[in-house]
Amino acid sequence: MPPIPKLKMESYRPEIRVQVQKVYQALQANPEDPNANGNLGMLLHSFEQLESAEVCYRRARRFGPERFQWAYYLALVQALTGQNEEAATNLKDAIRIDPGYVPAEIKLAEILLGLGRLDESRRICESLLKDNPQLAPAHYWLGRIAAATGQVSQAEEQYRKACELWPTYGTAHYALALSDQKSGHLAEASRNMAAYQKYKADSDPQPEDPMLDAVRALDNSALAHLMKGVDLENAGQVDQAIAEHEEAIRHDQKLAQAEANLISLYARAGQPEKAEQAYRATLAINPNLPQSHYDYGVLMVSRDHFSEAEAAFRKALESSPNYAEAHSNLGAMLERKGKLDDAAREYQHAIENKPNFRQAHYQLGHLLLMQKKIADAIAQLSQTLTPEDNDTPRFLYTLGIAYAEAGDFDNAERYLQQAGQRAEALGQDQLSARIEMILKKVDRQSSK
Amino acid sequence: MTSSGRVATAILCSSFLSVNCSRKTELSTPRFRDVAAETGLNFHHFTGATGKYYLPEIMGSGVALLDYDGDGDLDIFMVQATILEPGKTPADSLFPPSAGFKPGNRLFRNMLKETGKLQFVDVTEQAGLAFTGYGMGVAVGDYNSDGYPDLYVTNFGSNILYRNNGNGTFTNVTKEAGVEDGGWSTSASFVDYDKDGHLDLYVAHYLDFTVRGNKECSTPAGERDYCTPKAYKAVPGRLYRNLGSGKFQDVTQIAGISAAIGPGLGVASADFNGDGWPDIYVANDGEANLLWLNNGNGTFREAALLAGAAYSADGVARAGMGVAAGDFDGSGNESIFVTNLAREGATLYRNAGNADFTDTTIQSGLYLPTFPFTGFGAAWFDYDNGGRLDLFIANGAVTKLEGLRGEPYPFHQRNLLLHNEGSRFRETSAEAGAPFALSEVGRGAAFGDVDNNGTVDIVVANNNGPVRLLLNESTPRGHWLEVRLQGVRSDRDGIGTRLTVIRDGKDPLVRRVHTDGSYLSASDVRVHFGLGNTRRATVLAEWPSGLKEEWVNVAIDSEIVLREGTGRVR
Repeated sequence: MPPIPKLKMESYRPEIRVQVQKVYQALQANPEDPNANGNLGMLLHSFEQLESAEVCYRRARRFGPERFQWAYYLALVQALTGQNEEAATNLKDAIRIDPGYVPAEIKLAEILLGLGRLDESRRICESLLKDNPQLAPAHYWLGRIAAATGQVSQAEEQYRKACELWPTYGTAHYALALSDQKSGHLAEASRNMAAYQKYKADSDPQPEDPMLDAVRALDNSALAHLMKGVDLENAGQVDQAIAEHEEAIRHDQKLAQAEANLISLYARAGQPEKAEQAYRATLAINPNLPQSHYDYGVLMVSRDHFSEAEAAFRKALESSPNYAEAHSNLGAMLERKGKLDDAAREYQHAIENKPNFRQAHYQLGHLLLMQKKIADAIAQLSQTLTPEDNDTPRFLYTLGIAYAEAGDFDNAERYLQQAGQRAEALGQDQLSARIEMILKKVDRQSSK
Repeated sequence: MTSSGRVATAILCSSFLSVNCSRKTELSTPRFRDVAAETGLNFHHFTGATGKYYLPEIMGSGVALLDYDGDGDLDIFMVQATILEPGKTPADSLFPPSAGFKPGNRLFRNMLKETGKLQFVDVTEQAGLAFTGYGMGVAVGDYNSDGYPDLYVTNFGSNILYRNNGNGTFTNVTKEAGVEDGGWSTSASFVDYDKDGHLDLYVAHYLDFTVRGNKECSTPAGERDYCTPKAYKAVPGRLYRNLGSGKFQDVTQIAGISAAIGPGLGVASADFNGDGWPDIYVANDGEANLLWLNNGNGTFREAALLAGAAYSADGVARAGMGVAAGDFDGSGNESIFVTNLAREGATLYRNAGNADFTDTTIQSGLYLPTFPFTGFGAAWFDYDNGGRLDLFIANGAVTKLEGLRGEPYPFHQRNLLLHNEGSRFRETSAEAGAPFALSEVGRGAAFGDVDNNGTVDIVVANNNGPVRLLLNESTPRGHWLEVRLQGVRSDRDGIGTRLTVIRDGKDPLVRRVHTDGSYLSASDVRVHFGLGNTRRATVLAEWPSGLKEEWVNVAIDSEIVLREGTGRVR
């Protein structure tokens, strides 16, 4: 029986320390209580204190051998620390106690695949599918097992079923795309790779795991809220992201990153005063965070406070001289003031630091076009065409204009037509109308 | 054929025992012994940590094996860091250097040839290599083809190109060569991408971290810790074309290398799609790895995603650190091994030819042994001369390990040795001697036959720790061959040359001349072949110049020198 782990309480952040101390004391009062052991294990597990959590779960298992949750949690922690044989054993025990818990079976199939025990892994997936024919992950793992044994067509079939059952299953689309590529099905490969790119940030269709959710819920730290906030921001849920960031700050008022993130979040939510407050709060904690200066600069631009914006971009560059976006935006500020050479230099710096930075290529190309440096402008604008997005029509349009200025009407027409088609497809009506007008002019010029 | 004519120092199996030798080779016991301290290789990496958790502190550093004085034995160049916090001195560090500490990078001359004894002497100052910047890595290549290897040192800060003067000294030629670079460079690779006979240079860059813009990060439990790369932005790698006049031209944009960006840490150049042109693979930390396929016209196209070498099998970007490219499965293709973060497992991308990669980590038995470790320096090398490429991985965490809580530097892990058993790898670390029981913060690793006995030794650069020279004393072991090339139309060392050893009744062995790969490090330019019980070998060289020639029945258990244009043209 392993002893209760010794925890260095002083190393925990105060609010976490209080939480841990309470559960730790409960365990010390009842060291043979499986729940007291398991509860501390769960708390430590939530803070990724995996070695200590494992000890607690082992003890919980010993004192409560017929409790599913301790076997399951112990297996999860062992898998995370690379003890896969032990994890498989404990998962089998857990499944014996509660045969109906699907996440445990999926995890066991995954671990057995890692251990090279392919037949066992396959049997679990097949058994799962008998009871849950819609379980996309089981098809995915069957695909992985088939691929590991060189059965390419079976693997593809399983991946395809997984994608059919769960169309946003990015991982399965990726596996299918690579398999298609190897089979020479290039169009399908390209389609599935595009689907992978589209859905890769989405969560895979894992069956709900309330047991693991219970562990995750214990982490109420500032960092956990910050991370949730960032995930929400990436998912476009601005209001919820703000709420999580604010919660993070309530837990830790010195969490500079949370304050810094709030600058752009409040700006996106149309709350510029709050964004300015967040900037000042960030400065009070860490005056050198380049992102905070940059986001504040963007905020100032949106409010037409250009000199403040310029100063903010310069501050961002003091802390991070290679900050491409800050160089580019500083260039735009300088261009506004008519300092064209200085602006061009900033755009160049932006491109040097981020060579595939299309906006900087565009800004520089546009500036060169205004300066009638047509060949150089074309060189820059040509760098803006891939990958395609909502800005592409504008980039194509400017490139077309540049060719027209150069007297190359064939290329001008070609790019303007492409610009027009894409603008129309994207519903960019104003741009579309302008392109049509320019095309007519080009047509007249070319026929002269 | 021209051969060094050197008498083999290790005659392992007499002819009448060859069959038994073969059997014994199969059952070889790996054995490595750390001889750094006893051979005078005294170097301790200094991170400059002052408690601010500046990210570069935990990432370095590298090591190079090169014969800088051309005397026939490998010398060792160690990359050193310094204090980062403004206004502080090394004495203010949390781990101040011990008495007698010499700041800056260090060059250790191997006295083996002169004295017959493996012994190192610090010749840094005489060699003109004293530099006290924040060193990260090192690349080795004879960029001016004068027969003496030159050094390119990457830094957090401007990089340095040292031209080897051929008289035991170096000259800093960075500015005139135009390869000063800047920011935070990591691994670099000398590669003749345009096959003009002059070695070009690819330099990986990591993040836009600055001391002033340092961010505060913490463990899930709230302790201060090093940030992950997600806290900063990736900076693009750079490609420099060697103009042959001592100058390089930054061709990053012209060559199309700027089309994709990632936080690059490891680099390996090889012909991955078998079209005769060298390609470049970059391991990125937490973002898709990049495979730059050479178009043969001075430009590259990024192809990792559809080639299957960008992500692991589940489509997730791993924290790529070190890279090893090699023909581990005898297919003749360059497969790629990438070391990653703990709880990710390393990734083996098996190349079926034409840059068609499949993640076979699990099937190869590499997933589970690598899963608990954060891997850095790594290489394919045949430690028992059995004919198959085995693996070494230097490990060490980048964020605090909970199990080491309370220790002053809770990042240390043990290194890994994995034996290639044909279809799978078997971990042999536990059998391989005391160095594999050590737990340190492994980073760079360089590979080469330091004692010229026909086995590949390993130098491990530890972060905030001493260097280790792991002398390979594995027994019994197979026959061997070490090939040094002398390019004429190709670059002087024949970097990128594909060498095939044709053996009677056995599969051919394919190896590539290189110094790059691993992490922040440069390995012996000589190509080492473990021959098993083979006693007759023919060497076929496919030079970057396009010349294909062979040397029949070369002397095995020895080092041979093959000069371009002196073989039988194929």
